[in-house]
Amino acid sequence: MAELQKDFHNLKILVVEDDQNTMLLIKRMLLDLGVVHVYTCRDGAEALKLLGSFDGQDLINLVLCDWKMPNMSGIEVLKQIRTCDPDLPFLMVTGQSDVDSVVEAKAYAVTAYIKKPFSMEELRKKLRIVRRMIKAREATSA
Amino acid sequence: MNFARRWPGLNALFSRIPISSGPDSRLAQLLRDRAVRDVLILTPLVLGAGTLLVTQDFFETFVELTSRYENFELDNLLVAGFPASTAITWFSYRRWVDSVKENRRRKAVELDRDELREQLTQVQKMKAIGELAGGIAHDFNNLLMVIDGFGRRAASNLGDKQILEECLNQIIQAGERGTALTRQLLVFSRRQAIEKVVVTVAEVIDGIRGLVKHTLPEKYEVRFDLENPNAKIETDPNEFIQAFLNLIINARDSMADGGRIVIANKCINDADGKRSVQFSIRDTGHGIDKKTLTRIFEPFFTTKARDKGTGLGLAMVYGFVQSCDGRIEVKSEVGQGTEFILTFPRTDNPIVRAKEADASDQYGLGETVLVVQENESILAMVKSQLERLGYNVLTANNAFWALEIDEDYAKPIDVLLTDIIMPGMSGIELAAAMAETRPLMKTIFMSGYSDEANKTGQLPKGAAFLQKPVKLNHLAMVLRDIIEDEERLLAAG
Repeated sequence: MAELQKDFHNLKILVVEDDQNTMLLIKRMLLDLGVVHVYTCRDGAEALKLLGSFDGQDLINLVLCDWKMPNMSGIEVLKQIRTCDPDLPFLMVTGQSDVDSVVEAKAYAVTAYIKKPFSMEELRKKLRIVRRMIKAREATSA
Repeated sequence: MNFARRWPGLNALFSRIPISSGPDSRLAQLLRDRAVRDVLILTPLVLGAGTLLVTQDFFETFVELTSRYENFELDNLLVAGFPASTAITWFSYRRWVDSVKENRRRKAVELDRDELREQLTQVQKMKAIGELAGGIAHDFNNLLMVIDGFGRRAASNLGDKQILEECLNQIIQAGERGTALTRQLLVFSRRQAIEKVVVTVAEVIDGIRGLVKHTLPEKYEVRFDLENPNAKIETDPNEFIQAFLNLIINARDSMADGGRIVIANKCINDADGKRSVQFSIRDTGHGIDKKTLTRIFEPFFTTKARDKGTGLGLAMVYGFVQSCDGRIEVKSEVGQGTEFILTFPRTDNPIVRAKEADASDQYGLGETVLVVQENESILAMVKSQLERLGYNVLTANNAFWALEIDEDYAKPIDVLLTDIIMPGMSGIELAAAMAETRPLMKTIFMSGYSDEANKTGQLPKGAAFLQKPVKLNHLAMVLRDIIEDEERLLAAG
């Protein structure tokens, strides 16, 4: 666990989930994996406002966003984010029945999907990949 | 002659009177800055009240300077001096006011003219862009119609082999025409990676000779006048021949009843000492008027009927010559024929020939290739082609998924075949990330733009670059070479 904490402690993750219990569960999982900075929002509008408040060194590394939400769906959140950040890793959290969402989300360059219910191991794998992406970007831009 | 010294009383009366309009000290300084030779003042008693005799220079300078200021009140006049000149004129308040008004009116007209000229230039630019976009849309629309139409026909006649063959041939031809059109556009925009090699004048002209036979009927006489056939240039021989073919076709079209075309070459030294090889193609056609001459290199500009020319030929020639660091000039007069002069830098580099790609000996031996490509159709097509060649193919739509495969796939991945530009993470970054876990994996980068090819300095050592669209036999050759660990870096399109 100490090693995990070292791996992911620099990540800054935004979780967008309207269901309170699911939100708490995902947050708990991330904290257990060693992520220190977990930001949570109950809807898309709140998430976009929060993202807008970040700048410079405090940029979010990953967005974990529920697909089905009232007022603003996950795809809407994705569309809005893509207008100002085409490269921000965006994981769409989908239910088993959201097959059509795959096609639509691809059109807006969704990074990847994670299907509910997901295990710690699946989440750890996604975080590992995000970490590798950040590291590669830093290495090639150096 | 200094009259002020001769008439000191008059000097005291007229020589030091401040100007009320505008910033006096600035005007005084401006007047003082000019070379002062003499001051000439005649008393009002001679010329009438408020009238001075001054040099032409002084009057014009004074009018120019005071034209900026709104206030015409001239209670006083400071005369600090004016440049010596033989032209003398009279200066009165009324004349000064009228001259300033005329000066301002003239400047306003000039400003309007400049603004109109600028607006016209912008309108012309937008028109050219509009024509370009319209032309591109038109040509690709035609190709899409062919592909769609014959595709549907094929789908409705799956059992008829003859119809299927006809339809598929049409689709393939449309695809090739589309590729050629894209290539022309990219060459024009200088975003096409042309394959430059060292060739002699004789080699490229031999290629042209062959085409001329098929392109020109006997009523056209073609002469070749080569002063330096062994001189060498660095160019893409296919694109060179294509460029010359465009010029030959234009020459032919300008001589409906036949005529003579002379293709010549010579070596020159430019004004700055650079050695160059010059090619010229001269015809005895109807020539080009001055107005048309200014537009001939514009894309989609043509004086021919729509079905006789796309208007891209000369634009392509222009783009190609620029890609070779050369220049192109045209000389023409109506009724006197036209001459195009293409100048390329001369080189002493040796001639190197690359081997030809042949798919027949380029089969895979079960090696694993990870293909990363955002476009699903291209991904499916490449997967199918590589599997047909005998490779084990994994696919991913973006870098994230590619890294997921990297995490999950326990066996070796021999080659990563990836786009450079991808959302989220570039192909270069992906290759760097995968190199940590798979150091023996080779990488082939793909892109539709030569700009990315120019980043070969950023590509990992031993990586290859392919410019899209990629032909199967070329991909097969590059894959085979990279797997067999050839040392030369392949930069092919």
